[in-house]
Amino acid sequence: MHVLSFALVLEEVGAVGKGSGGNIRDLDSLFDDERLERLREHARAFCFLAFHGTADTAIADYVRGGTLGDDTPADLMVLFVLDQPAPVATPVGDDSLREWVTIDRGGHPAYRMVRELFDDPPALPGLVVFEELTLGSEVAYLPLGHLRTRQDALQELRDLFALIGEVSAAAKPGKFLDDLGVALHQRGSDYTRTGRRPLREWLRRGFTLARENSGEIVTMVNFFS
Amino acid sequence: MTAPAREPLVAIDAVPGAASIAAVVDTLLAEVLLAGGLAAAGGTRTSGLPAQTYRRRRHRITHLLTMVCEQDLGLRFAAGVPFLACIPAVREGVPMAGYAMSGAHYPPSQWVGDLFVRWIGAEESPGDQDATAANADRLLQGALWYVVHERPDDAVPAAVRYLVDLAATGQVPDIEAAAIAIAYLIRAAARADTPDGLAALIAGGRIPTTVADWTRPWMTWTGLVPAASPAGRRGVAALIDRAQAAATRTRTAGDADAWLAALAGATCAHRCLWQGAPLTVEKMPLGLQALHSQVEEMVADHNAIMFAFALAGMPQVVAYSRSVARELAANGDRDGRRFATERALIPPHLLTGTALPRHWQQPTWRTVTAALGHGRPGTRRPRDGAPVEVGPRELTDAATSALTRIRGAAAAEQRRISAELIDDYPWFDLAHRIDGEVRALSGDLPGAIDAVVAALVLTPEAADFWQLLAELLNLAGHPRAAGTAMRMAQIVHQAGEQLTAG
Repeated sequence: MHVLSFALVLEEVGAVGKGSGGNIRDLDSLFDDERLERLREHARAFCFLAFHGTADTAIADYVRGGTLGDDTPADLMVLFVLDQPAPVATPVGDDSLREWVTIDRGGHPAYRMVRELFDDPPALPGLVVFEELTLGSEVAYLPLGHLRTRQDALQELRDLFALIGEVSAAAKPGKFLDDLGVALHQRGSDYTRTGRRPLREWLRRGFTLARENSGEIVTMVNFFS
Repeated sequence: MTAPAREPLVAIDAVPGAASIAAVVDTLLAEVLLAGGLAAAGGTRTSGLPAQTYRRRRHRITHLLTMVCEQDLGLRFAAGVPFLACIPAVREGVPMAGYAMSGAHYPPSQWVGDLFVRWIGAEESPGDQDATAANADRLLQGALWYVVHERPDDAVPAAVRYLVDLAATGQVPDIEAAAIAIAYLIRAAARADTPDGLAALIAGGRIPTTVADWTRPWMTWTGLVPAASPAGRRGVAALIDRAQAAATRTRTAGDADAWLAALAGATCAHRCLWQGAPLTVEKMPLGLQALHSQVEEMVADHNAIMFAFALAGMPQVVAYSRSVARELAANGDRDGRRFATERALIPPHLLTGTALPRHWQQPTWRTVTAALGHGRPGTRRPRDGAPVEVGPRELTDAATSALTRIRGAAAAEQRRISAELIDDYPWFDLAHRIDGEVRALSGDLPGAIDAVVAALVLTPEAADFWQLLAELLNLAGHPRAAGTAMRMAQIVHQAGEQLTAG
């Protein structure tokens, strides 16, 4: 599996004609409304998988296993924090996500990002789900700490991604998280939901947090539509 | 003579003194690959092969030299050089494609013959879309022959790697054909991922077994539609990894010669990705699109860099790269990190110094014949890093003046004069020969032999250079190696101008 900085994906979304400077843009200019709106043409919903690369072994081993791209429906964009820069397509495999072994859970950028979203921080690791980045959006959160093995994580996340993909494809505008709540309730999944959050600023701060630790918020380079 | 920083392409038997002859062969083969790579990198399906003047100068002499060395010195490939036999040369029981080290015997002379014959074929091709499809057909035959006979662990990525390697070593003048072959392998992977399954599918129904099966036009694969598959995904991953590794080599090259080879290889690999990726899918997903855009910029940079190099040498290459870095900085790349990891096609440290290090100022005799593209580097000299044309009169005068001053001078002064001549005319074969003679006079036989190796790489068709090498090897107590050099002198002398005629 290859991943790429989410910043590069945003650059590509906003590419208008190319010169010798390419699409390269300052991080601050990447989070404009027009660009984030265009991103919606490629993704109906977003997930942020929050985990510690060496402490949350079930989730981390699942990501290292390389099937995340295969498990994700085409119109669902999954983001996570990688512990290295990914300015070009970067392979994720057995040796990946082991750099931040000295960073405890409290200081891990992904954990800090999730805590920012909640007044009462939930148990981690977990999956943040949201519909869009431009307007303030509500967020659903599914704790994943109960997953003990890579196989558990593979089964659960494969099912969850498929469910989120189905719900987002069928949901009317603005109703995605409501519909997802119903589906998760029927499934018996534990989840919480926040009020509206300024997700654009949240993600922008997440970039800074990750980069302060020489990491990156990344998404998969899917090879097939 | 500093040894090249790359792995040697060829090896020989343990014959004392013959390493000098192997060095001539090795450097010439690397130069031929460089010529192919530079031409293919910037070329289209009609213009991606080395200039005719270059091919004329190198075809027969390289073939002859490899044959003699195979007979006398046991010359063979040392590195895993990818190869694809041309159709007339394919016979039962002889490998048709693969890596020269990995399978049955495939001698360097056959490789030289196949490559130059393929270039002649490319020149005679109509150069239209049908010709590119036919080229892709032949490349698919090679890739599948390789996986069917060598049985690598994972057939689709192995076949993709083989095709990228063949292109990145300068052996595919029509890079679009390589990109098409790669894309259709990835399409095919949705229906078959074993060597036999892939071969049967792409060859039109059954596994090819005879030479005729492997060499007749297939073309049935053109009906394959884009489809996702795990094996196809591994194939795209292999393509991306090869392209990125090639880009890294341009940033870690140690001198101008190594950089030129890395640049040619990287651009050919990038073009395989740039032209191939869009054909693997109906519509590229966003992440792949982002990656594709990056590669597109680098392919464009290659053309600009090679134009700068041809116009004004390495200083202009550095100036162009600085301008790209500045533009990126203006767009937010404040610390230059993104330039260094995403766009740089030269080592970023060259951008910070005021003057280029000596070994970066221009290509040496090892690569210049391919680098300047027209096969006669001796008629040029570098001035401020740029190659400028000099008349035969200037060359004759420079050599005559040096020889006059050398005559009767003390040994140290002789060395200074010959070194100065090489500094002024580093691509002039006679300058290296004079340096060889001066070194021999002062008793530096290894240095003398190295200097004659340089002269021979520039002009391997010069019988007198081979004769001088034979004399020096004899003086050094290496009669068997001297015998091979003398044999080359005689063969080259007898062949005369036929060696470089059209």
